[in-house]
Amino acid sequence: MAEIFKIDDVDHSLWLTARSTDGFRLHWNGSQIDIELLSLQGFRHQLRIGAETHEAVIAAFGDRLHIHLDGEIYEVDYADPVSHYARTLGEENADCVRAPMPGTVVSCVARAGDAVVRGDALIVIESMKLETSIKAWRSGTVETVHVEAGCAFERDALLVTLAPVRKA
Amino acid sequence: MRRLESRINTRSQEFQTNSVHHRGLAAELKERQQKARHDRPQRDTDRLARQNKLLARARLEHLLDPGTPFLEFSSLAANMAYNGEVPGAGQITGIGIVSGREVVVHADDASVKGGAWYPLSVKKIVRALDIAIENRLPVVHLCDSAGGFLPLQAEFFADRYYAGRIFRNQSILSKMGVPQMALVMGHCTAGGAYVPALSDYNVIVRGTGAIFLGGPPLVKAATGEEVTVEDLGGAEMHTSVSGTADYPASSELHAIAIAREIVERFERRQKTAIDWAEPEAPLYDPQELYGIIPKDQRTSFDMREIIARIVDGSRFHEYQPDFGTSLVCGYARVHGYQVGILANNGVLFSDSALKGTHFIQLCDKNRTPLVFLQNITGFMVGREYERRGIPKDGAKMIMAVSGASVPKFTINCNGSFGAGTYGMSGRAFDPRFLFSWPQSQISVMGAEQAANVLTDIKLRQLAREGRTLADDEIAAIREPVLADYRRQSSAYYATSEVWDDGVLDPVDTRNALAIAISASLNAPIESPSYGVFRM
Repeated sequence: MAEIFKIDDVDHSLWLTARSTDGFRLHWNGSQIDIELLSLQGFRHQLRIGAETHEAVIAAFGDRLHIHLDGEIYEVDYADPVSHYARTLGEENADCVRAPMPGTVVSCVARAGDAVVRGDALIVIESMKLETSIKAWRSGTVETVHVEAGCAFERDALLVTLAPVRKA
Repeated sequence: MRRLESRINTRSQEFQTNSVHHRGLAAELKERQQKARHDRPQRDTDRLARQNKLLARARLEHLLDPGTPFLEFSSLAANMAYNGEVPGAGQITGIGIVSGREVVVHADDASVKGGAWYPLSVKKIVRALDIAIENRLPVVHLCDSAGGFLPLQAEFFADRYYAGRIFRNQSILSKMGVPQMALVMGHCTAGGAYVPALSDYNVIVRGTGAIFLGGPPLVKAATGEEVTVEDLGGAEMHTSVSGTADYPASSELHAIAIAREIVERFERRQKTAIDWAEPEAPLYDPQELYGIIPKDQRTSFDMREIIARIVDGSRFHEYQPDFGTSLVCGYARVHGYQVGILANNGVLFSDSALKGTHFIQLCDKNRTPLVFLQNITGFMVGREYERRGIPKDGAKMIMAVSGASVPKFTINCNGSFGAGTYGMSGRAFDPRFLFSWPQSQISVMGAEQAANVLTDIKLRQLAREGRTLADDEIAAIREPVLADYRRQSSAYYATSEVWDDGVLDPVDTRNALAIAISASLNAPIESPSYGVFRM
């Protein structure tokens, strides 16, 4: 399967195969180009593309690279195919959260109308001796908190709804 | 393989609070270990110096290959027993590298009560030898013991897993073709005499080493015969007359040099091959573990955040991500070794138990070792769940955990309660290694619940007699139960009793797991085979 690189926000689908020696072979418009990256000192690298040689400064955090090459700066994101194609599922855009198990509400942190950022605690529930905070799964505005502190609920009960995201 | 994407905000107040708390717990662990390893009464260190003996840890330093790791087991054994007077249960055990071989080391610590064996010393030695048997690791014994601690003999002598098991395990190791080497650096009296005698090779130090079934005072009492230590069981006699010992050594360092030369001769067996790739450090800093584990042990957290800080490249292939979501299952690598991880994200339901059962079988067929990350309050209870067969589905998971042929490794990250302990490969299910994090707890149920159950029983009993209790009388029943429960469910109590192989600083988990996995591959992996799964 082709690898997907996002270079400055544009997706590029590239066929790469590992060579038996170091480096990769890029399959490009019917031709094959050998690619090799040699580490020099610190962030400095030598990039060989076919017969050409470039010097590049590369800083990486995980799968994101910042590359300084021939006077230009590029931001490159590598997305493995599974995560790349998963993004189109849009599961993070759901509007409500349901109870993962029966329990009681310890406290409601968020109120209807509150603006929340992904990861903010919405409500805290307790079940089977365990306190769990239900966190915002995406950023948005709280539309309804369906429960209040002290009330008991069954599994799959509706807990919090966020205002739907308006499609652009 | 995909990377996990962390959702932790490392700048949040919650993260900072957790971080301070857990760094404190890690520092406390280090301090307790430091004390257990090195704090000794002056008179004991003076006595050893007078006898020209090295401290047990100095012996270890000479024995092990320079610059190699030593995975110590149960360094805090007996920390809550015997008034804290027997640190480490007077024993040092662990996996180390000697002449390039992975070996189990077992050393008596003569700076603790003369190296006497207490009940927990025996338990710790038996466990080290069980590890040697399960993982087919050669053993190096450093012997220097006053013998069994007689006032407590009823707790370490007669039963199946008591002292006799040490010698039984030594014999089984030899039968399996796993070699042992003993260095006699002090007295090996009574049962202790069998440690060098049952080792394939042994060395004895002139002047300080001695082996005898009964020491001079016992001989005098029994037969009236007066005899010196040297004459009765010294190096000269055993290496030239009785043949109980093989090599005389002129000093401890000489003995260690001979031992290293012998271990170098041990057969180098091919390890079991499992899937391996070039290792990669986790993308997310393991130091962040301190900020992720909640300060309150009852607060839940996403185990994927823990996994991301233990595994190679923080990469995790999650199996059935949308089914039985209270159990996270998936593949990852630890220092290159492929493992299957089962981690708790809440209480176990029927669907999570079924998913776990299926995943264990997948890993077993695929020759992939299993890692259990415990944070489990138990299986779900209630009418609806019983009707849907929660005990039956839990039984399937226990059947799979018990029957799996691939090595299992268990970490109690936060809590391990009730049947959850069983489903998640607790001690009774023979994980090759089991470690606990400092804040973790383990017990049959939570302290509050146990106190409530016990008070409830008492109240009903009194109600039948037509009596009731005032609130302060109820508290008088509850409080001692709570206090006892809290003490006995702490990680330090668990490790004191050798219910685990030691307490780990969370950031050391990745390395400890890698050493454990590597050691486990000295044993072959049998073909998958299971009992009957109740459908």
